[in-house]
Amino acid sequence: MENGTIDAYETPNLKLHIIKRNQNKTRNKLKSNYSSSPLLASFTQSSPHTIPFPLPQNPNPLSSPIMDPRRPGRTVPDPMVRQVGFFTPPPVPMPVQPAHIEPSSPPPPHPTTTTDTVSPNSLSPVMIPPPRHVAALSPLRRGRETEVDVVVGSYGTSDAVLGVFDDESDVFSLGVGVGRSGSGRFGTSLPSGGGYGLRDGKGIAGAADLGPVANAGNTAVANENAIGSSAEIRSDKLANSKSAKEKTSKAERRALQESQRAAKAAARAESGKAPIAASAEVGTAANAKQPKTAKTLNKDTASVVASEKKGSDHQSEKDRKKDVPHPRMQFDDISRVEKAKKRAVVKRTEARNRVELFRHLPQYEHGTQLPDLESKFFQLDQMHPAVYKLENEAQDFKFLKDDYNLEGYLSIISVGLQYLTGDISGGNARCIAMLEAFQEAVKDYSTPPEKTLIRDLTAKVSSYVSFLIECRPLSISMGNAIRFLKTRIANLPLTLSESEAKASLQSDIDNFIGEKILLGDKVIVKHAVTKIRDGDILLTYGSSSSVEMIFLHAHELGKQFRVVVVDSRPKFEGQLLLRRLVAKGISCTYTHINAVSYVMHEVTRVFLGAASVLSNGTVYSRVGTASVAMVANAFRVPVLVCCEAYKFHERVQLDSICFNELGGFCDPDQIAKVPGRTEIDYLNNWPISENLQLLNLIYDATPSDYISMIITDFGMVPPTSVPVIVREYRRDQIWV
Amino acid sequence: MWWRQRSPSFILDRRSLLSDDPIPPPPPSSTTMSNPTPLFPNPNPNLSAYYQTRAAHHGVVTSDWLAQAQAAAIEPNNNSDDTPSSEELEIEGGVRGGGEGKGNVIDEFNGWRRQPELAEAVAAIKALASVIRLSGATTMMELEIELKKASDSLKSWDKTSISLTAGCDLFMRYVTRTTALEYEDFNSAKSRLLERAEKFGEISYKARRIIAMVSQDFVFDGCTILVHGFSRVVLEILKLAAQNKKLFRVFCTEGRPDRTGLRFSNEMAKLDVPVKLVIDSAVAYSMEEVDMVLVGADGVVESGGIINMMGTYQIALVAHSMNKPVYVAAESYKFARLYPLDQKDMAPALRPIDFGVPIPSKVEVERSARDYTPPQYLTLLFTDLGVLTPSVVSDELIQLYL
Repeated sequence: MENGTIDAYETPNLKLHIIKRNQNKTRNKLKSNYSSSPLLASFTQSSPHTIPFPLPQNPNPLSSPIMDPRRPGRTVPDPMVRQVGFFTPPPVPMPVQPAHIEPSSPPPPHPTTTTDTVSPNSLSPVMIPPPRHVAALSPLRRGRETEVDVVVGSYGTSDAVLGVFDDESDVFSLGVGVGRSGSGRFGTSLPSGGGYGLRDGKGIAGAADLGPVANAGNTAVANENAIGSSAEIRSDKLANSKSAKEKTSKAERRALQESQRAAKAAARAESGKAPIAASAEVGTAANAKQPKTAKTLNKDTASVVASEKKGSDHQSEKDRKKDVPHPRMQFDDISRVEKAKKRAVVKRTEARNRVELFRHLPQYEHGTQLPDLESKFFQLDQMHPAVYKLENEAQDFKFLKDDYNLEGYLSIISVGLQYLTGDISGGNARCIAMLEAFQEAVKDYSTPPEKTLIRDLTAKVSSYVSFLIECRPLSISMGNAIRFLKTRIANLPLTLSESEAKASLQSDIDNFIGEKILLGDKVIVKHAVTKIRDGDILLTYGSSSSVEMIFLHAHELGKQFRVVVVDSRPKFEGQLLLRRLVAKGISCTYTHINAVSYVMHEVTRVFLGAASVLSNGTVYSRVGTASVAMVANAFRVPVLVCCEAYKFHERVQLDSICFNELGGFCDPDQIAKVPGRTEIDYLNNWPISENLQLLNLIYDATPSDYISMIITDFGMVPPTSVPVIVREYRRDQIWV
Repeated sequence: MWWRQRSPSFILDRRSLLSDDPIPPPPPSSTTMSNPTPLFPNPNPNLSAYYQTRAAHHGVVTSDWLAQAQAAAIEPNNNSDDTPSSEELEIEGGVRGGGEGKGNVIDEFNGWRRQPELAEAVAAIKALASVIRLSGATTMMELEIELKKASDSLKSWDKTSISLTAGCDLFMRYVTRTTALEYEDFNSAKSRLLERAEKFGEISYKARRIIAMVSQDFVFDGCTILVHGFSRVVLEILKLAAQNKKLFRVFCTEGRPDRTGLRFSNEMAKLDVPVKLVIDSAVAYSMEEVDMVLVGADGVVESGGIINMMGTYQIALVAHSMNKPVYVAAESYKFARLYPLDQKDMAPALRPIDFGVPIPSKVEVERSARDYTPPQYLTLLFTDLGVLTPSVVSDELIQLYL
């Protein structure tokens, strides 16, 4: 699931993306197949609880068209009704069913027919009575119907529930909903019924053998305790009668309704006592629950209706949400931010005056997080029980390191810290550091008992990733690398032993670093050098590792050229590049971005690095790149972007606003202060002013119009070919 | 030659260069000299073989050219026993060359490329096919190495020709791909490759027909088409359009100094198509009458731009600024994995230019035979793969070569 979210939020509305989302969807579907109800699946999305066999589901003919045929219809937009609906056993195990039913329990109504008639009802939050035509008449069924009637009679109080409702249709639909819960009860006695164990709380207690109680507990939990268990039991019986309904003729059903209405009236009179009477019929386990539910009965049933009505909107909204890609964390969404804060390991103070346009991005103050992280270090126990134990014994770093399980995690922490302090920056360096940390983690990983490596390791990696994200938002290249790793984990053959799996993962990571990053750079250098001629004046901005390699290689080849290094405040990355180039004997000019329009007229080539290349050809890179590219384009100087293919991404981005990085490790304070020049610190007391916002962006998006060529592992391509490369190579290299 | 006079430093650079060598020898000649085939040097180092081929095909006759072409035709013959007849040359070259490979390929190629209807790329493929035919290799790997050597020497023999390079690459690509298919034995693989090579000739003709058919929709009644250069594909398109009883008018640029336009207007006159000759400098003047520009291409490069006869770029620029569509007709074997960033970013193909009067030695003459038209000035490409936008070229190339 974590994997899914990462894909989703990094992928916009492209074809590829749709495919992937479909994968997600099928994953969801699979998951919900396991977890018996999509509702539950959505509740337990991030939890690994799943049941390895399919559960009773509602094979609804009116299921929504987006469903694929493999998945039995997920009918209901309404959480309440749907939740009840999933207690129906599937039609397939039907023949086996009678054998499993405890002799004491009342004979089952025909579940298949029950669901068939009943499900259309559950679709509608306004509770339309079930269609008549489904009530096929068969002698066999009619025979059963009488049995059912007996059952109803035996639980005489069942109508007490219905007493709450005046409307006939209400009665119907409630009966319908519960009817399925009734058959679900039989389901619980089946092996497949074990699925209820999902809601491990109350449901599981009864699920063992006491059919009615288990059922009651289950529905109660699923209803978020809205419905009392006694109501369930009663409705259970009613369900039987209801399921009988379609087997009976119209007249018979009419008669049944009449009797129910009569019973309802009676129940209204003695609603208080009824449940207890019912509980007498049920086992001891039920007794424990009955009194409590009896009291709340009326209120509960009322609330069922209410929640059904408003729940429907809620649910459809939820469904809709599931369809759109998982949004990136929007930091102007207060509730989500609060949630994230609770989980956060790294506590950081938010900037006081946040920039209005960029409220959706995290904006932190600088410098406060480091001591905080150290103090918070031992709160990592949530993810690592082992850490927690050790904390009590010794808070010694080295001791932690001795623990096999922590070694990897420590490497992750150190990488995270380096991100935080900015010790590691640059797309490739960050990505390699992260992958190496993951490699360590895999090396030191051992599967906990009763867990599978694939699931557990994926979860572990996800927790590492979320830690790294807290330190600094991931770059797109890192997202790709993580996706690669997770796919590799997920595709590990189950037959591999743990050590083999770990070895294969480690070599996979090695290959990724070697082939995608290091070899990719070599190929880029090889291609790019052909575009450098004697007498060229090359301009570069910031500090890109691949551009540096290109210059050095061209110099080694004896090409005569001059380099203009354009730099900008506040990071002055260009100075490092300049130092290295000059040390190698390349003649350089150093200037700031303010002068770019002046130097551009003599430049013959502009070489730029990139954090990512998006599939509309947009180059996502260090802030300032766009202006350099724009000026170069205006001067008709070719702009060459050097970017390894693993940084390509199928997302489309049109501006630098909706996704960017600011605050955080890059401090807005940096642009307010000039180091070493106290006399011009005019903004020294800037936080005092409420209406001052300092914006320190890290990336910007360069439109593809300004780019002449993208040099990548696959050669020199125009920016229009980025989606081709994403399409042709992403699939088989990362997804397989 | 490629400095830009933009900054003082360039002027300085230029001076030093000028003092050294007023006309630096073009790269192809130098590479040819260092080529491992001293037996068959490029007959005229100052003239690109590319241009020679074109001249031979299109019957371009200038006084200067005549002498040089004769030299070109005779020189290799002096060194080998080939006769000028292409058929014989092919056979003889084939028979003779079995043992030592490289010079032979070039002979072969020279023979094929004299056939007027045969494109250079196809000639290259045929020459390579003969290498396969005569190869004494017994394994696929050996054959591949031999082919590689042959195609390398072919490519380095004339670095200026794009379609030659593209054709070689294409064929090599095909060979390396088919080896992966694992034929049952070497001989059948060899014969399969030969078959394929033979087919390429047909493909060349077929491609032109396909393009002509595909582009008929774009020639509408009453339109005026500006044509630059002599392109066999463009001729085919217009022929078919005339056969289809379309009523259209053709403007031919003169195409100095080759005067390709003269020849093209002759062809048009034969088809009874109203045709008007326009001197090269009158393109902008007559552009307002023109409905579309239709040009061929020597090569289609990865960016989607084209490399074509000198003057195409300026015509495309004029057409673009006047919102006239620029269509390019090119066979898909002309797609090359090249990516020129600007005009000087390719090996220059030099040609002689006859000004009619002696030119003082101090006067420099721009002798490049072709220019690069960036994709943003092109509207559509008519290819045998269909009608493509320029950006699809890269897509096709990536799929073909990666």
